[in-house]
Amino acid sequence: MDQTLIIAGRPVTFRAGQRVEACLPPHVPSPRPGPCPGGKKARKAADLIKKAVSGRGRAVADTKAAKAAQRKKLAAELTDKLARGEGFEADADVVAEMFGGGHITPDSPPMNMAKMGVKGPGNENLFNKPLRDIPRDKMPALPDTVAGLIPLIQELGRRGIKAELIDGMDPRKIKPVQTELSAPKVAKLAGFMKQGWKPGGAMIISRENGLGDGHHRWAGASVARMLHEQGVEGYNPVGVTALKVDLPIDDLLAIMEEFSGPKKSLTEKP
Amino acid sequence: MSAKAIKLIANPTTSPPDKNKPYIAVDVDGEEKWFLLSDDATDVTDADFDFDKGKKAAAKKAKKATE
Repeated sequence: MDQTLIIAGRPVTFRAGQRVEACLPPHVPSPRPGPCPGGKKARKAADLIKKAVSGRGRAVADTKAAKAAQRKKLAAELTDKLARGEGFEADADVVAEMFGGGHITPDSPPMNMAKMGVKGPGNENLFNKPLRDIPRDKMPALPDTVAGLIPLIQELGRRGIKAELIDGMDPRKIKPVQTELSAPKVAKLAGFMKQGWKPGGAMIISRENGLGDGHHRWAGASVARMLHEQGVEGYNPVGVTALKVDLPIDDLLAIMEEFSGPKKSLTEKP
Repeated sequence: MSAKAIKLIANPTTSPPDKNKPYIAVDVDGEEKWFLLSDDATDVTDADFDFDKGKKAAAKKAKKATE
């Protein structure tokens, strides 16, 4: 029985039992021209053709295409939902489609990403399960100069607080405390972190991995890591640098509040 | 992933890459290192948190889709 397979957007028909490994149809794109192109791409195409001839490939291809279309539709619906301010839990592949598929971009209208949860192992802290419910304008803001930070460091030293440097930490292990995250900014930062965490950058976290400051960097790194795990091309497994202070999150936030710079909502600073 | 004990330095002996940015000095294995606690790329402003604007844009989009 003849079988038809869509290859490179064109229908290609094969006879049952036809040998296809040796010679691909001339209009199938391949790394090298010629009767027997060889190469990984060509072998993959030959495999697909073989499966199609046996009747299995078409079904597999159809299922994959249907799933992708469904994921795309769901990503669009959930992005609209987020824009309306409604919360939800979504599978990681759908969230990856929301960011990797261009539904949420740096130019999207403001929407609160902290309304969205991500299902699946490793995503337990993303993004609607903060350790504390603190709106952005109530968060302590770290001073934005070296001199401004010194009193905070002195106080931590005076109290004898121990600290640890953690390199290559999966950002999704860090727990947010802030209940507002700008999704377009997170999309922008995730894009910047495709290749990895910016060298020399760090975030301060508490004994239980609670985040003291830098929620958008954290969310950007987490999205980039998730996109990598979902197989989105161009994303690396981001590992962040964290300065872990041996204090519970409430104590860390309290001490940061004591030495806080102007609140973010008033200064419009990062 | 790697973790090691460090000391936060209140009186650094070296200069930071930029004193007008939130750099923090840390003693790692006896060596003084600087870490930046922010990223200019973040550039978050209050306008980014105007979620009502996003809601209005979503309502407009929905209305357009039904027309």
